[in-house]
Amino acid sequence: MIELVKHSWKEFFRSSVWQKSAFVNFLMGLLFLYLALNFAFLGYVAGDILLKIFPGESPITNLNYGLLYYFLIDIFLRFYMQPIPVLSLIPYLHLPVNKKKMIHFTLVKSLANVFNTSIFIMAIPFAIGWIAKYESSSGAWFWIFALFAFNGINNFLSIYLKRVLAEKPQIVLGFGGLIASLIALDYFDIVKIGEFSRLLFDGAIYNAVWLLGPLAIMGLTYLIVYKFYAKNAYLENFEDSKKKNIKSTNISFLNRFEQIGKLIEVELKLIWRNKRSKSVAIVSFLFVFYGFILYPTGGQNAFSLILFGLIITGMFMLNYGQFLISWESGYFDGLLARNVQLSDYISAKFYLFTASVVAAFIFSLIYAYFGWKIVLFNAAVAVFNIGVTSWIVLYTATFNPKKIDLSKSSFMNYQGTGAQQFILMIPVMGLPVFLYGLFYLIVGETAGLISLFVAGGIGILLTKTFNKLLTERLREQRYKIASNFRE
Amino acid sequence: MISINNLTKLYGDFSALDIESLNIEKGESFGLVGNNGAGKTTMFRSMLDLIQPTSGTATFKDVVTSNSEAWKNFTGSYLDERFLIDFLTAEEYFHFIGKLHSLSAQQVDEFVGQFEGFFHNEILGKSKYLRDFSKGNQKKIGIVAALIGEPEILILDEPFANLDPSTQIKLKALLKKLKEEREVTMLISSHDLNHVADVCERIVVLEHGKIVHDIKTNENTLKELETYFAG
Repeated sequence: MIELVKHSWKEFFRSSVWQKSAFVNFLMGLLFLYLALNFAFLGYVAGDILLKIFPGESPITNLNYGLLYYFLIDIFLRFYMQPIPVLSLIPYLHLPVNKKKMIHFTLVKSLANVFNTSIFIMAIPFAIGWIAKYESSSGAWFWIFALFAFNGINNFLSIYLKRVLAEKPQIVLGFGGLIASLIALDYFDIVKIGEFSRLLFDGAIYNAVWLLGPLAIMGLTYLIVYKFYAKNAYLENFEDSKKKNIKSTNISFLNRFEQIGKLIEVELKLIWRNKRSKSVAIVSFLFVFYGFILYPTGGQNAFSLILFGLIITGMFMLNYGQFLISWESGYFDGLLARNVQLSDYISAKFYLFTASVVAAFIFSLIYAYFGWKIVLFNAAVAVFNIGVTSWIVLYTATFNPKKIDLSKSSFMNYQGTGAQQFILMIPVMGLPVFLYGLFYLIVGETAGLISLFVAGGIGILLTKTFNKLLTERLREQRYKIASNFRE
Repeated sequence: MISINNLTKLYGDFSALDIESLNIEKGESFGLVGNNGAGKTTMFRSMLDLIQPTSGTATFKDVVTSNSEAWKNFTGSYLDERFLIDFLTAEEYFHFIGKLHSLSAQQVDEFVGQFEGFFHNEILGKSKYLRDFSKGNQKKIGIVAALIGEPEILILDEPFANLDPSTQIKLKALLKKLKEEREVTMLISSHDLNHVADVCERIVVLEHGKIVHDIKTNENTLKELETYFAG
């Protein structure tokens, strides 16, 4: 067991992340320390801030009111950003190392991540400064334990949901539905999550009995994840060659489009037949439903409407597009040497993006329920996505794409699906907001909307030109991309 | 049919390929031999425009391969499994390649059907993805895919490696037939001197990226090659 700890310690410090200069590492360390201090300070003054906002009320109770909301948001963020703990099990499988122990170790290790540490950096100063001071020190302990339990629930639940996403998307959909209905009940004042949250966390401070429920649920989620890992910890699952019977299919509808259609067909099969790309597609699809949460709660000012529109209509493009070309790293040589016209190759991707945006837009018409303005904004953003964002995504894809090994051990192969890519998307998401804002300030609201339509329209009209530019760009970069993919 | 002019590839100071001039006639079957690292794959890759040569050009039928994509119409090639789309079934892959040459699925099925013997009933109608086939079967799929679209030029890297003995014999017969019936210009690299001496009329030996021997095959060729590589 101690050996395992040593190994993962080495794995961490020998990872390529640290292979930079000592100076950069030092700066990173300082940055982390600075952030941690900020969090701690925030936790320390949270009580005073709450007292300012709600004078005469107990800041502890008011904070407790918000905690469950925090954990609801937390589970969404984690689902998207928390890395899945990777079992580096293969080198140990044939050795006399207890497999169960390995899995427990990996799962416990997963608790050590940014999500789990940052909340305690905030919570502990609050617990010391307020709860221990005004209630009791044992209450402070219990309160921290309650947070720990919910934190653990979210941690293991998000791991589980992410893992089963590709195989049993209905579980994820069901869970999403549950959360959505909870939020709906809260929104229509039928059940107040905050009241429940207050009851629970206030209760925990006075009586440890309140901890039993959350701790039991945490234990249950842990058990579910553990069972899932234990069931899948065999070599064949790493190699992912379950010999299922596969039907050869032709998507005859696409046959009309000759080479381009065939390229699209291959790409659709790529998405559907590889777990990693399939997860990306399903997650993007789930984002289409985010409207049910975003529109009732997020307000309807123009800027958030644009952002929501971008998320709903463009998520597939942004998400899948981050690894465009990389997805095909396994057979890029083949594409180059065979009779594939590069302009067709680009057209195929452009049409795929367009289809995804149009499909998401049609679905988003349902949000007219929350106001017609939404439809108008979504239409503007959809046109902008097709005409502008798609070309940006295509262009950025030609910058030094890295190899993705789709065929190898997809069960464990999730690198590059963490927060980093999410951050890369931020400038892309800012563009339509910026454009709208510019015309909104100079002329007015309608002009802002029209500017999105016009920019997108121009982009669509210039399809041939952009395609030609991109073809040239891809031709320039082809040697570099191909050699990246050969490692 | 094929001409190479001053084609070189440097990796830093290391010269991986350095060919001043090489001409291959239409219908010629051309064998390339050499030890590991001699530059065989580098030569094929730079001819097929997969790596950027440091200098020089390869010309297929008046088309400089690094300047235009037109040569892809009449060139079939299979270098390694990076040419295969591993999440497709064999049929789907053949149909895809066929489509690139504007062949219908039916035409492709007919064409591929003649290779049933070569496939030894292990490829067609098997409901599995290319990644789940063995190395040898993957190679068979790659070779047959390279023949789709009636190529005038055929480039194969190590086609005999990983194949079982009877398939090796079938492949030799297949290549000979292609040459006789359709006058396909063939470039084949191999570590197996027997096979190359058997299939190719002309054999070139590479060493450190340079051509050190260029021989027309006759009954003494195999001996000659063996003495060269033994020494």
